[in-house]
Amino acid sequence: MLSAQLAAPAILTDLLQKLGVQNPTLAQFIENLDTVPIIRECANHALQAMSTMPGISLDNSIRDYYGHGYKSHASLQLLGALKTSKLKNGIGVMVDSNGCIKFAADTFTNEWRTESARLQKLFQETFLQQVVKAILEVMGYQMQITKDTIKDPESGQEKQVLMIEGVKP
Amino acid sequence: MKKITVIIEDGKLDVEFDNFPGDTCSEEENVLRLLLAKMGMQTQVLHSDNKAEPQANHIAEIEKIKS
Repeated sequence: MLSAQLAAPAILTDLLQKLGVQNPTLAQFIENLDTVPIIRECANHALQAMSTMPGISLDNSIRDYYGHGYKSHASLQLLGALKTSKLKNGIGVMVDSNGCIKFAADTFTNEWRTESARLQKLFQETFLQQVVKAILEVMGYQMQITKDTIKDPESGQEKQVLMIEGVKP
Repeated sequence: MKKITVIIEDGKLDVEFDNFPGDTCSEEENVLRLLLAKMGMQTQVLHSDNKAEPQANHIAEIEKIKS
């Protein structure tokens, strides 16, 4: 099984000190904010969003080369598994108790490895979109979201660009 | 109306702030970066057009997600 992860929640001390001078109440709120449930919710939204993309389905189990499944346990439950025709065993997404996002997939063949990396990158992009939307909501913005697909001039592949415009009085 | 525009492309954020009076833009940007960090995003400023405080490293026009 391949394992990779997105970083756990962190706090930027210098920025927190600056904000503490500008707005002490808000700085305190952010310092104490438990973001692990929000990370889990954003990861779930990202999985749902990816399941609407062409060729990708959402499942609740992954398997390795031998057909063995991943057994969730209390501290590391499988949120969902993304599957495609090139990765039928799927890539699993989990959030641990510290808010780290972890991926698991059997990458025995080159094709599985490549597809697993593609899905992982796509998940990170989609997760980032969900995170930005959640943060702007917390910050009190009313949002308008525009999606566009453009052709990358270097690779020639299509890629997604998302624009979020937020306003508040 | 204060306006914030975020463009997400290739795991990077391009953030623009409009109609923020005084240094409230700086406060808003600090809040955004702190919340991104609390959500597990490692922010790194790649470019800034904050002419007043070019060394301050706190106008995050472009943030990069840790891969």
